[in-house]
Amino acid sequence: MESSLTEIVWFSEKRRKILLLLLSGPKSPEEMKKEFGVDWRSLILPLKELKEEGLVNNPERFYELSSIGKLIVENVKPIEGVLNLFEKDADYWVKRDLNAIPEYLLERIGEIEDSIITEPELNDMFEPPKEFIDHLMNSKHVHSIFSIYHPLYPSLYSKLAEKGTEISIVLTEAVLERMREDRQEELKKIQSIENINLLLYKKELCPPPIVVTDNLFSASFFNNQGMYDHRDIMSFSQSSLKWGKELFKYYQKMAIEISKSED
Amino acid sequence: MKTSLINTVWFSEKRKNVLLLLYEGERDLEQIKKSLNVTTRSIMPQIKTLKNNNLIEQKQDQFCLTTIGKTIVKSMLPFISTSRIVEENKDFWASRNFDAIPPHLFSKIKDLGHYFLIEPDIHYMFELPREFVDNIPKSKSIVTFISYLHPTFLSLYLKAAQAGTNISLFVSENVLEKMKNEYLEQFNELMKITNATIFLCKENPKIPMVTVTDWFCYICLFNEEERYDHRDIISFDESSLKWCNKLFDYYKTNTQKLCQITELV
Repeated sequence: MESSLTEIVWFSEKRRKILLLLLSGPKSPEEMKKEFGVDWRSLILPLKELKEEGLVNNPERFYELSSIGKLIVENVKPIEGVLNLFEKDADYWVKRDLNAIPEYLLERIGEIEDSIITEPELNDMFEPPKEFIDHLMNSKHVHSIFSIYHPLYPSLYSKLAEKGTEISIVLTEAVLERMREDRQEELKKIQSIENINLLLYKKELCPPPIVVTDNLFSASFFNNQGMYDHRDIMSFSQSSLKWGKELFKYYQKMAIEISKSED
Repeated sequence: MKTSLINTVWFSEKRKNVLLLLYEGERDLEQIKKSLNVTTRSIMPQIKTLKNNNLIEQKQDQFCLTTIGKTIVKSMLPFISTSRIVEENKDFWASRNFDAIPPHLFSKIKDLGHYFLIEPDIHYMFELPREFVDNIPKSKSIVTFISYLHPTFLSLYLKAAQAGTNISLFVSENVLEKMKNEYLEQFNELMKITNATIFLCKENPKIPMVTVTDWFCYICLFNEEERYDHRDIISFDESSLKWCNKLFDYYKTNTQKLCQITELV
């Protein structure tokens, strides 16, 4: 038996968009028209259907969710987010190894909104995208996980730190080893900077390289073969930043501070 | 052919059922056919669509969810169970007042699981509901909030306390007054029992009664007009007990907001 709520919510994009809009609060017809950029006439039927189903009320001039409407739509939002995310870049997500994302964050992966997948052109394969650099350099605080050594990053982060940006970096053992072996100078410089907090992550499961700041989230999830295929996901939306920060915190908690005085 | 993900997971009951079945674990075609009571001819196209959309994969004879398939099904479940709960008793849910339920628990009403709605029986209108009275003695620890006092309530709890059941009873000021004035003897007796504690809520949650024990939970909500219409919910699901315990955590910790609790001496 088909559930009528499944039908009402999922069989019409217009109805669903109206419901999700009303989740943020009551709206007047003018606000709804403006939000969707459509004729009022085209909203009359879906609103009537939602009212008949008891999900939307229309006291006076405003439209709002009823209590069961709210109950249902609160539970539409997460799955809608997940479906949108995977739909938009299906090819990217299908090939990802998501094991490094803890269960409670994987469940909420739909909170990564308005993401773009960046893939470098062959001739600037080793340079981060300009948009990424621009946002990074304008951040007030930066949290990063280095699980791949990128030759540009140490100087980039030193420059950031000199501007007074607060920085936390979680390094994996492999990256720290690599820097100790042939990037001694760089490592020393980073370690000596007051506002860079360096942490060492020693567990086996390799975290994805991520950067999350007050205006940028970027992650390089590994592919199914556990390889970095130079495809990064980037987003500037608040809800993505929040999700990214929680992912950083998850790994930060398991890392230990590298003392400044260490030689 | 590739279809949109929303179409893939929601537009076909059969596909949805395959996804939900595989969420429980991998299955071969025979098991899928048997569980869903379908023929090969009717299910194969759906399985194909799911495969083409990378939601399921086949390893030899076995079908299982991919990582994104699993992530998607997991996020579908809250919507499916919330819809089921609402649809089972739509008039009831549509006419409730949820002011006493904080937002983080309101959106998880699905945790009530396989609940039963108890409709008042006109012949027993003035008695405590049998479903409640019968299950209290089966509980080893009881947490209750009441904002109305039924005449037989205290004797029921006194009996349970005397049998060794741990009781935490949260009451509104009105209830406390009434107990002191009309049931002083029982009240004092209950206070004497070490495994029973009574708390006073200075600011009352807007709810007639809620009880959670180690065995069941029992919830009374006001209706839209803020009247108690004696339509109650009982559930025995593990998730519903957890939900109710979180509700009590909220009532206890949000002392500034909801209730200041002072232990009576």
